[in-house]
Amino acid sequence: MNGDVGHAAVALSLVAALAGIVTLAAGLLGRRPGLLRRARVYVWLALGGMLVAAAAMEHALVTHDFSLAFVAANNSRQTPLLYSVTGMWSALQGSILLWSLILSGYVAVMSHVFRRRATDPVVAWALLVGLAVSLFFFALMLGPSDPFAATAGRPPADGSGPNPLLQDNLLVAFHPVFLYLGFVGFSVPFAFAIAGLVTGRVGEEWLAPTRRFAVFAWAMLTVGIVLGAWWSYQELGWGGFWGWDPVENAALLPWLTATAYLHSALVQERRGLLRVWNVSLLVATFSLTILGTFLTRSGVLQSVHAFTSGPAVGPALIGLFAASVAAGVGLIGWRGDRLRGPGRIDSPVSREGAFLVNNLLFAAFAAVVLLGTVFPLFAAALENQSLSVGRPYFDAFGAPIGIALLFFMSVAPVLPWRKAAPGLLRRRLAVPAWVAAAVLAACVAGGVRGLTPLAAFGLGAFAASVAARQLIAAALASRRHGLGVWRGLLGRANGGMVVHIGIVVIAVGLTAATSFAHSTEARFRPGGTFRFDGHRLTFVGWRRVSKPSEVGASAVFEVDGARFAPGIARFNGNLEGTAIPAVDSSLVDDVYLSIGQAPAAPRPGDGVTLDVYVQPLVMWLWVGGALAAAGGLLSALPGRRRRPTHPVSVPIPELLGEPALAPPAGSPPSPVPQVPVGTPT
Amino acid sequence: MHGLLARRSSWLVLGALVVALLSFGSVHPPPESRAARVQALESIIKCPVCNDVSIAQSDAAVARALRAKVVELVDSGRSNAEIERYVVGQFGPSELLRPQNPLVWLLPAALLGVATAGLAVVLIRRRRLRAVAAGLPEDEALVAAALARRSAEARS
Repeated sequence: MNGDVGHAAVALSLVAALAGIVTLAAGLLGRRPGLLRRARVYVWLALGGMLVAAAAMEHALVTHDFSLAFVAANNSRQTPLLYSVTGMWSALQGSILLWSLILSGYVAVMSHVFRRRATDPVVAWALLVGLAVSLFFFALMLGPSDPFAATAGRPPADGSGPNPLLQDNLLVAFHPVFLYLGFVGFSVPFAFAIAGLVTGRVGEEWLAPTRRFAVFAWAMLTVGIVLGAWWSYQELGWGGFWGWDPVENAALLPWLTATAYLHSALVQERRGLLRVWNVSLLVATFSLTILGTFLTRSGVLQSVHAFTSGPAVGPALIGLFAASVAAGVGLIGWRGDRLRGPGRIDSPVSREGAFLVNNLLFAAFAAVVLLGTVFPLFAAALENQSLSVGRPYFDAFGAPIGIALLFFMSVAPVLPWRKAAPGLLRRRLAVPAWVAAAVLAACVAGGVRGLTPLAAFGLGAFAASVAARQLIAAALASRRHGLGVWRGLLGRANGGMVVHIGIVVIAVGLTAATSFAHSTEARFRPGGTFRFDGHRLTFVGWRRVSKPSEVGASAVFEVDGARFAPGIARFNGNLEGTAIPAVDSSLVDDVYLSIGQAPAAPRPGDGVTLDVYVQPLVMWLWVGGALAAAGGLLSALPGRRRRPTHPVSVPIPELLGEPALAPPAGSPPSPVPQVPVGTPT
Repeated sequence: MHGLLARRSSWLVLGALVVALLSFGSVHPPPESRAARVQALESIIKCPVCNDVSIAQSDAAVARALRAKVVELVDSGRSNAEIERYVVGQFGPSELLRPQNPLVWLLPAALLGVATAGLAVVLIRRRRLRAVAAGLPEDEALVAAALARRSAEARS
């Protein structure tokens, strides 16, 4: 039953997408605006089909309908309700369904937001591109990756249940959803970029309206990545949160190009420059999400995240990747003459100059990560050499690029557009630079050694105090305009500064946790005590755990007086035990306990071998992630409103007659009166 | 206070201070402990039966045995290079997570070099072009008049 409903719903979406594409194409080629308006119906029909399909899948999972092969493989009668629900994205076919659902949602929101411009060829083309990408995924679900395929033979009495790692932690309910909201969200700006190229309207008109989609998708992707790191930290038992695994790299790559885009798009909006570059970044971001899915889901690269070996979707995904890259490159080449920017960069010491360097660094970082991820493939194919590219490689390039980014993060926010007046940097950066020097001195006095951590902490303080300076100035300015101080947090620039602070917090936590971690393996008898890195650990005894879906035992420890119980669990009768770590977290450091060796069925007198990891500032990663996401959402909200009829600057004579015009807070009087230019919406 | 900090001389003092702090902090590292050495080695040796994770990250029995072996070799006074050679001899070149192919190191470095040079050329050439293109005489006259008016008002 569920299978039939699901198949019918996917088929409905497929037909709707096809009909929408045909209608839009007919309307565009035949110049019939009526058809363009009518295409909206098909967008909503496609979304409706996906909603029904997802509901059918959830219904099948929750009611343990093992007549579906997917349910039989990823669910069992003992699976708790929550993990039945999350079972939808615990394997490939269901993940494609989630991807398609989110994509249909984005396309529907896009068509709703631009409903008054439905007859505009740019909007119509963008919808067409969105529907074409949707069509690909719908076809995938009716072809090689069918989530509603029936179980071969008679349905089993019980299913095999999700992977043990996927039914132990609440984060599996959130991490994939946020990640996909991020990945798929970039389809909207991508669709508009392609539409702009096709119609030849390659100016700035599509940038501002799709900015909110890009910022929202970026914030979701950031949350998804941070939650993924948090999940692997709590679940995988080796005390780490980032392993440069291909799946992690696949999520990081679009994040890097998207971050570059969010900055360089500002240069285009303000100055009309970097048009080719921006379109290329959007094409790259979209293509990299597809390439990442291909690399990790086709079995080409081995990954700890490939929880199940799914069906062969590799050729289809690499086809979509090739098509999007070819479309992007071909269209950019075709429209090359129109893409030339009207202006040029006046001075390297300007906001746009700093953004250029920022983009160079992000692009270089992405190139390094991409090369390191796929290099083993090429080495194996071309030189018949098997090699591993791991942490030493990524750290060797990542650390200097990260430090350079922190430096430009400190300087760029205070730089004006076009050209900085002499002495301006000296004035605006004075206080933040001394704050940074004080933090650096405190670190050295506190015993921090090593160039990389010291540079990261010092520059982190620099970047954070610059961001704080900008926020304070914005808050004072909005109060001067008779608005609430909180208004200083809204808008793109100010929200961006909150993001900067969040990124700095992450960078500091990352540096501290990787540079100053200590770990050991300790053997305990019951009642035994062990001191490690300033913490006191006592083994209290064993506790049996028996839930419907898991059996096992926990070893109860006292860490500095509080109790923690890392465990070993066996899920659904699996023989192999899974270690379930326990963490004593604080803002200063984390004590991470994971059982190394223990008897299969421990008796009260048995001992235990415990892996202990002490890492400073791990919690800063999660706090920083939350701050960055909050900043992203703040910058998607409109800032100080300006009436469209208001002139952007004060007329010249009036301005010259008023030398008493108050300069913005934080900058001393300068020879030319400063025109308060608000954030354009 | 702010004016004082913004002076050129204050910035020179600040620069000297930062250089002194950084060099003191990086020239006097604490002696590398045995645990730190073991940890560093464990993080670059791949777990032979796993995908892309080091023996420090893996719970597998082989990884556990290899960790014990690393501790043993470190305690018997072998250098890091000797231990790496031992591991490669036992399990092959893909056993080290630090890739042994020079291409993977040279390519990004070359790419970064070319991109930086390109950016520098673009910025410098644009600057030179601008220097040639002077403003129109009318514009310059307007600016001069406005500035003159402003300074006259300021004097009065």
